Amino acid sequence: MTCPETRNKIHDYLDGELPANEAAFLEEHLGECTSCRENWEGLRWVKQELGVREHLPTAAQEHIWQQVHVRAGYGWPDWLYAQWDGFCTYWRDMEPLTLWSKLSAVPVTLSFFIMILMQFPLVPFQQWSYPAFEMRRMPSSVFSEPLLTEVRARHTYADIDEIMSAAWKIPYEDSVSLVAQITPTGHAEIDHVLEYPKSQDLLAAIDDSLRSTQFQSAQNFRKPLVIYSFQKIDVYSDHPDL
Amino acid sequence: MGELTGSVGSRIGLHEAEDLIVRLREHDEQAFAEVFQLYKDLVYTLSVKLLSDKTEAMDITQEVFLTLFRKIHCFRGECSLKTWLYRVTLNQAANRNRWWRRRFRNQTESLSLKLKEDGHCVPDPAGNEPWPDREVYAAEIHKALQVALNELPFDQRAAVVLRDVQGLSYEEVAEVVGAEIGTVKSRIARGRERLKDRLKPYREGAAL
Repeated sequence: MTCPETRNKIHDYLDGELPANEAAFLEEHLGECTSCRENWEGLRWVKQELGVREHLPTAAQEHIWQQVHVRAGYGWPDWLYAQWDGFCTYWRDMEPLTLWSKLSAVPVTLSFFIMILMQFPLVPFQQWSYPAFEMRRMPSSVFSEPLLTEVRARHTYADIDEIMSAAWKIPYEDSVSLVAQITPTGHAEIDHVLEYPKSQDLLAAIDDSLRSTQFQSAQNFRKPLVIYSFQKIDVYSDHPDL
Repeated sequence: MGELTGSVGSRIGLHEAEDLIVRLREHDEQAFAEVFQLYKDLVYTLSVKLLSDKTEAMDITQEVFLTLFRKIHCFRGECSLKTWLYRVTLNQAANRNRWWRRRFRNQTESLSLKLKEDGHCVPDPAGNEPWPDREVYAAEIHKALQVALNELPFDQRAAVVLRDVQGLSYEEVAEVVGAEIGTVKSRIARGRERLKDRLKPYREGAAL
């Protein structure tokens, strides 16, 4: 037997799987050739050293047994194990590139569903509050004196038993707006917006307005009108000084 | 009569193995404990040799027995339970190996390979006992062998360990690994050659 042949068959010989006649030839060659014998000794030594077995430490045994017992979850249905196991394996064995490409789809998908859900709000948009954008509503009490508490006019209408009026005064503007809410007995309310330049005398302006044909025809009033009070005065402004 | 009894005895063994699998499928705890006692060291040894890390090996042992419990219904009985367990262990170890390799595992040193944790006798310098040189040297060789094994490609390592540590036949190794017998043989041969070259200084030291 030559050296290359020996090298080919030495592993079979080492594992005891070489037929007896070939083994005899090989042993003969090993007796003659130093380098092959050296090789053979080395391989046998490696095999012998590899043969040492490990033993699971007793403490670890108990721990593993307990863990398996707990994680096996006695009483769970089989399909649940299978599902969970499959899920874990799927994510664990994924290549990093695939993993990141899949993870990056999560925010995209989420925003898509959020956009769809926003089409059907639980609270209608009209009722949403936007505190940051709300105009600052200042109570009239911030002023030392009421801006306009009571205004009397010469005009009287007997069939009006109550006039509810509100004046919205906007400082730092060129004009003043008044909203008169006039309620005839048991009848409809009418909002009328009156706007005056600030230079004009306020009472005179109101007088003029109430005399106007538009206001009178709208109310179908026949008698002189008395505005005896402005029920409510509120000041709205988004001016920083207020 | 003796032959008959012998054959009956072996058949009882076979029936017992089948019975064990049936009981495993029914999630019988007793059967599970029996299998654990039978195969724990085999599985542990295989994973220690494959990964060179005892903590990882314990973890893998746990995973393997958990898989046994959960996936026993997938076991079709085409191979023996032992082969199946080996295959599961090998897959788990291959996964871990891949996972670690991605994170440059080979550039880090395994702490569990230290002599102390290898279970060998570590001499106590303060003690009165003389230094047991041989055991220290054996531990040294053991460590070097693990390092050398760890440097082999995974398929060669698996084949060598299954053949030389677990003592499986070529056919069984081929079955576990899922490769042709010729491939397995060449992997074993190449693995052993590399181990031999790598451990040459230790062998010469041991011979002295």
